[in-house]
Amino acid sequence: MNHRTVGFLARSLPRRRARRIISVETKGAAVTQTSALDRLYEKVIAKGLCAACGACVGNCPYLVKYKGKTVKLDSCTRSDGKCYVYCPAAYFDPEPISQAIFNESYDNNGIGNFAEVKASRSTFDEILAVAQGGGTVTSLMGMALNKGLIDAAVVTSGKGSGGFAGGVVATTLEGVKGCAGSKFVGAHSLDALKEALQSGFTRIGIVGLPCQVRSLRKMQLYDMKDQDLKQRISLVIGLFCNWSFSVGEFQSLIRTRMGTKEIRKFDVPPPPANQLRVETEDGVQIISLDELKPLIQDACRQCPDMTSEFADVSVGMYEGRPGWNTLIIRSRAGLELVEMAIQSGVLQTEPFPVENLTHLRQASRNKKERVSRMTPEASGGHLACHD
Amino acid sequence: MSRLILDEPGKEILLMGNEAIARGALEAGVRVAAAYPGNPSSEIIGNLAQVAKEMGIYVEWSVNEKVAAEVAAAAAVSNMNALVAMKQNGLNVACDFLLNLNLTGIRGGLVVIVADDPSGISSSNEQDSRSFAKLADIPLLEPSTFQEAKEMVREGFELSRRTGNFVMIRSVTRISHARGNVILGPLPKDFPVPYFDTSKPLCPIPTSITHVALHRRFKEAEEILKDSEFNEYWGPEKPELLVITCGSGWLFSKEAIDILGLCSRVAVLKVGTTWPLPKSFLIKHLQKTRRVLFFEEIDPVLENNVAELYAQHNRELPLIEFMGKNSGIVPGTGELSPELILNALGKVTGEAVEFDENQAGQAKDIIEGYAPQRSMAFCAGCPHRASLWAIKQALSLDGRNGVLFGDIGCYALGILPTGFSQLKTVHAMGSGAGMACGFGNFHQFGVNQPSLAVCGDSTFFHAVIPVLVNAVHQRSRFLLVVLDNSATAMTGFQPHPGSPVDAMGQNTSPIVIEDLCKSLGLPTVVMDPFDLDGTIETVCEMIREQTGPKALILRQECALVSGKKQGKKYQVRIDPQRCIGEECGCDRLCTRVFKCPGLTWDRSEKKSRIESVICNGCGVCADICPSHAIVKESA
Repeated sequence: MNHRTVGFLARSLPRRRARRIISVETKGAAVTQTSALDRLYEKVIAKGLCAACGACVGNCPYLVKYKGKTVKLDSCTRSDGKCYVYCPAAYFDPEPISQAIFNESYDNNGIGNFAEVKASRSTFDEILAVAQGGGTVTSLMGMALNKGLIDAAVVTSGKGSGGFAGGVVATTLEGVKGCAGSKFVGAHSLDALKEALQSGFTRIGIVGLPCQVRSLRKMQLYDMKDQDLKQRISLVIGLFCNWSFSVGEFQSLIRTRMGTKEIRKFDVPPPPANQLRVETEDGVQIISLDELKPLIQDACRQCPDMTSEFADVSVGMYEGRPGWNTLIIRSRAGLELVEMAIQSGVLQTEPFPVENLTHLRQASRNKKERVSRMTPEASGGHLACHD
Repeated sequence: MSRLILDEPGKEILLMGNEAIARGALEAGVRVAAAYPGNPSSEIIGNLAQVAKEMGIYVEWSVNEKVAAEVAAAAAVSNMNALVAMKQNGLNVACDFLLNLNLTGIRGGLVVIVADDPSGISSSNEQDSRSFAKLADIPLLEPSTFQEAKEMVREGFELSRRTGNFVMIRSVTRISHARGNVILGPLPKDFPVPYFDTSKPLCPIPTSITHVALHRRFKEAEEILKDSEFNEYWGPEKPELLVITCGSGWLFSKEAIDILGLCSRVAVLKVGTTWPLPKSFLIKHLQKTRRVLFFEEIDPVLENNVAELYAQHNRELPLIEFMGKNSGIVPGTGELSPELILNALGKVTGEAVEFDENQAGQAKDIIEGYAPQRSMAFCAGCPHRASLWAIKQALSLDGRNGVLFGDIGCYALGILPTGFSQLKTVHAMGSGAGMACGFGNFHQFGVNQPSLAVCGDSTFFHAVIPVLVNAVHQRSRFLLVVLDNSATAMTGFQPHPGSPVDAMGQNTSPIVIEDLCKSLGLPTVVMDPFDLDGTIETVCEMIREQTGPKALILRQECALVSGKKQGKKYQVRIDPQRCIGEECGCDRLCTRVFKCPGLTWDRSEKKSRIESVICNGCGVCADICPSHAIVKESA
C-alpha cells in the first residue's frame, strides 16, 4: 500500500475558514476579539463539555491536563487559537469532513459512512491474550508499524504520567501491545500527538475515541500551523464508545477499592449486566455501574457519536461473541488496511450478520436521540454546527 | 569613622533627616535603641547600629515594634536614655504597651520616633500618628528642618526625663529621607548609672491614681514647652492671612509666599510642639489676623486642635475664618508639596501663580527617552515571582478557587500582574496568615475553597507565630507559605531572628523557620521555588486534603543579595529559531504573563529578548518557555 493514500484523501479547507467559523460564532456582538481560549473555557470547559480528548493540551501553555481535567492556567489573546478550532466539543461540522475522508456526504444512518462491516479477530494468540475483544486494533496498528505504513503510533497507555492513563508514542508492536485493552476513561491521549510530530514522525497512526477522531479530523482540515497533518496523520482507528469516566475520580475510586493490587483489565459486559468487571491479580471484582455512573464525564452524555464515525476504521466489541470485534471499514485507506491485514494473515474476518448490524445501528441511533433530547440543537449525529 | 560620631561641636555637615535624628539621640546620651525596620524610619536604627560599638550603646533590630518599645522601655525605667523608632504601622503594633507605659511613667528618658508615610509611598496604609499623642497624653514634637530633627530628639530626652514620661516625635518622609545641613552639638561623656529600683514597681493599676498622675505629668510638659523655640513666627505683625503649619509645611510655605510676593501680607506660624499646643503663643498671633490657613500632612490634627483652642478662648479672639483640610482648600489626604501650597495660597489670596502646563509633559517626554515604561514589578530574578507562579498554577490545577491571603512586604506586589494577581488581601504584618487561619475553619459553612497565606521570613517572626499557635489549637485547614528570601528586603536587608548576625554585627543563633513550624506539630515542607514543577506539585498535594494547618517554606535568596554575593547563576539567552512569540502555542507567555523585567519583547523581530543588564540569571524563565526557546547555561 502506498502510504500517501492512507488517511486524508480529499482536499482540506483553507485555514481562513477556521477564522470565519470564529467570526460567525460571534456575529453581531462586540465580542469578536474574545480570545479562542476564553471561548473554549466558557463554551466547553466551564460547561463540563470537555471529554479530555487532549487535543488542546498538547498545543498550548495555558491549558494543561490534571487528574483527568483540562485546566486553564492563564489568559491568551489569540482569537484564532488551535485550542478552540481543534476542539470537538466547541463545534463540529460533519459535512466537509465526510467529503474530505469519504468523498461523499455525511451518512446520517446511525453509524456514519462505511464501506463494509465485518466480524474480526487477531490471528495472534499473544495479542488475544491481552486484548479487550478480538485484538483487532492492536493487530492492525502493529501491522501498520511492521509494514512501514506508519512510523509511529499514538495510543493510550493505562500507565501514563502520574499513574493516570495517558497517550504514548509507540514505534513497535510490543509498544502497541502494551497499550491493549479498554481504559474507560478520558485520558487526554491526543497530547502525545505533539510529541510524535515534534519527533519528526511523518506517518502517524492514532487510536482514538469518537471525540478524539473528530478532533483529529478537524486538525487535518484546518491545520493551523501548516504541519502537513493531512499526510502526517496517516491512519485513524476509532473505538466504539458509549461513555468514559473522569480519569481522576475513576482511578481514585478504583484505588480505594482495589488498594495496591495490580489491575489487569477492565470490562463492561453488555446489558443487562450493568457492571464493571475489574480483573486483578487476585481474580475478578465487580462494581455496579449504578455506583460508577456519576463518574461519567458530562461531555460523554452529550456526545452523539458511538462508533467513531469519522475514522478510517472503527472497532468495537462484538456483543454476544466473546473474543471477536465488530469492524467498520469506512475510508478507502481503511479498506486497504484491512485487506492487507487479511492477506498478511494478521486478521481473521467473517461477515457481520445483518441483524447485528441493525442492532448496532439502533444502539447508535439511541445514543444520538438521547443527546438530541438533552441538547435540542444537536441533531444528525453531530453537535450543533455553527458554520 | 561615621560622620554621626564626629565630636566637633559647631561643625556643619549634611545629614539625612533620619541621620539627624540618630545624631540627636547620641548627643542626648542614648544608651539603648531598638526598632523593627519600616520605611521611612529604618535608617535611624541602621545608623545607630553602625556606631554602636564605638559609642558603647546597645542597638537591636527587634522582632516587632511592640518588643522594640518594650526593650527601649526596659532601659528607660532603669535610669537610661532609650530610643525606639517605627513607622506609622509599627505604632499600632506597639500601641498596647505604650498605652500602659504612659500610665506608669518611666525613670530615665524615652523618645518614641514615629515616621509617618504621607501618601503611603512605602506603606500599606496612610495614617496620621499624631492623634496618638492626644490619646496617650504625651508630648509630641514635629521637626520642620533637619537641624530641628536633631534638636528635638535631644530636647525630647530632656523633656522625657523632666516629666517622667516618654515623648513622641513625628517625622514624615520628606524630613526623614531628605537631607540638609545640621550643626553638630557636643557628645556627652558621662551617663546616668543604669539601675532598676525594685522598691518602686511599675503598674498602671489602679488607674484612678495613675491616670491622674499622667495628667499631672502632661501639665508639666505643657508648662515646659509653652515658650519653646520650636514654635516660630515669620512675617508681618498683622497679616491679612496667617498660615499655621508644621513639619514639611514650614519650608514649603515660606518658599511659596516668597514666590507669590506675599511676604508683606502673609505670615507663617510654625508649630513644633504639636501637642500640647503652645496656647499663649497661638492666641497672641490669632488676635492679629482674620484669616487662617493650615498646612499639615495627612489629617487636620493641628487644624482641629487650634479650632478647639479657638473655641475655648473665643472671648479673647476676633472672628476668624479657618481654612484648610476641613474647608476643602487643602486636600484631605496625602503629602504636601510646594505646588499644592502655591495653589492653595493662590486661591486664598488671589495671587495665583502661573504654571507652565507643558513643563510636566516635556519632562515626561524626556524621561521616557531614557527609561522604558514599566508597571510596578518584582525585580528580575525575584524568587517571589517564581513562588507566586507556582501557587497560581497549583490553585488553577486544584480547581477549587483557593484564596491566597497576603500582607505587606515585597510580596504585596503579588496583588498586581507582576505577581499574577494572586494575592487577594493585603493588610497588616501577618494579617494574611491570620485571615487564612480564620477562612480555613469555615468548612462548617460549606466553604470548600482552599485557604492559603503568604508571608515573608521577617514577617513570619514579626506577627505570624501566634497565628500558627492559634491555627493548631483551632485545627484550621490552611497552608502557610513562607516566602523565605532570607532578607528583610523591602526595608533594606536588616537582619531578623532567622539571620546569623544581629544588628550590631555579632554572631547569633538563627531561628530555623521549619523547625519552629514542626515543633508546633505542623506538617512542614521546604522547597526551592525555582523548582517550579516540584513546588506546584507540593502546593497541590498540601492543600488537597487538609485536616489542620500546614507550612510550606519556599526558600530562595533575594535576587539582589545573591546577585551581589555570587553574580549570575545562569547566562540566559533566547534561541530566535525556536521562539514562536505571538503565535498560537505561546502568545508571548514570558513577556506577557511571566513578565520578568529581564525579558523584553522585540517588536520589530517579534521575538523575546533577554536584557542581559537587568537579568539576574535565575533561569526560571527557561523552565516556563513552551518552545524551549529560552536557553540557560551555567555562568
